[in-house]
Amino acid sequence: MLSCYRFEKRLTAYADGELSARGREAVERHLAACPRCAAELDSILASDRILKRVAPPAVAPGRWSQFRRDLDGALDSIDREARRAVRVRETRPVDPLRRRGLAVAVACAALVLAVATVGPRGMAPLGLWRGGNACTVESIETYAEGMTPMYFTSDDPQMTVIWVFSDESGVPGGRQ
Amino acid sequence: MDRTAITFLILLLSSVVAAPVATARDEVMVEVTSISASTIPASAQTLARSASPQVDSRLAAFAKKLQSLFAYNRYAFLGKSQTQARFGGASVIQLPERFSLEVEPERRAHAEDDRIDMVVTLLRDVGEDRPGTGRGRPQSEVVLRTKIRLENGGTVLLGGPPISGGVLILALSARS
Repeated sequence: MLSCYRFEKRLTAYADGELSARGREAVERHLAACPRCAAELDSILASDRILKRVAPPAVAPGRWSQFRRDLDGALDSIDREARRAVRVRETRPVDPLRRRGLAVAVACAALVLAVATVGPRGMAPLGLWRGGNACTVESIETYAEGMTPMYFTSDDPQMTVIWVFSDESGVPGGRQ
Repeated sequence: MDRTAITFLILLLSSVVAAPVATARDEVMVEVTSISASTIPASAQTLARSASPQVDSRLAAFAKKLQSLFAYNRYAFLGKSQTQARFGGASVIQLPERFSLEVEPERRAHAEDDRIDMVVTLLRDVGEDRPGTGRGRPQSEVVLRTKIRLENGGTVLLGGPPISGGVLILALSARS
């Protein structure tokens, strides 16, 4: 199946001359047969031409050093304001009862962490260091009109659902 | 046997042992189960044999998960397809109702966990670009494109697009 979207991704690289000879040939073959992608390429090239025509603004000698001084001054003033806002809390020694509670809490946390990471014999570790889910979704998108993609995870760490909402299908609960 | 011969023998044995592993790791086995989920109206449900969710026996492996995640009350098996997708390449799986799934596994450098990166694109055939001429090429729209990092052997559910009489749910599993 030949789809424009695969070539649309490569048009900018093609315009910048970043494709391999094979990739370039594939794009050129597609452009010869697809007026829509050819128009898209024209648009990219036109944008490039406009950008190349725009010269960077001229900066007077000594302006950068003045800018640096102004910036340092502004940052110092922010620092001064921040210091003024901070209140130093009164420090008190921790009473022995609270200290013991803290030690018990730390010991419990260490025990839970050890069980979760290593796991007792014959029991699978909880997978704390694996993100806790069998699937991580890095990006999600749709090109279809009237659809909204999203994903959700359930209590079951082994199951992630990636769903495209539409007016027709409604929510995944099945309620229309 | 001198030292050179022993070294040569070790190298030979290592290559023999490593070769099948390297080959196996070059491809990802992707399996997709297509499911139609729908909600039977309460009035019709009373006429049905049972008010409990109707799950196709061929979906036994997913029955509990589907029922815990969604509130549809009918799950029909539409088909199962599998493909061997090469890292860096794209494989297309044809699905029911003019849908197709493109899977592109991506190799990660210095991957420490046993996970598979892949770009998954769900496409829907929307006809030809020059209808009626007999020379049109098939056109498709991207219903969903997602980049996921799936645990080796794990499953992710993709769904939402409306199909005749319900919504499409795909259970995608990958193993390298």
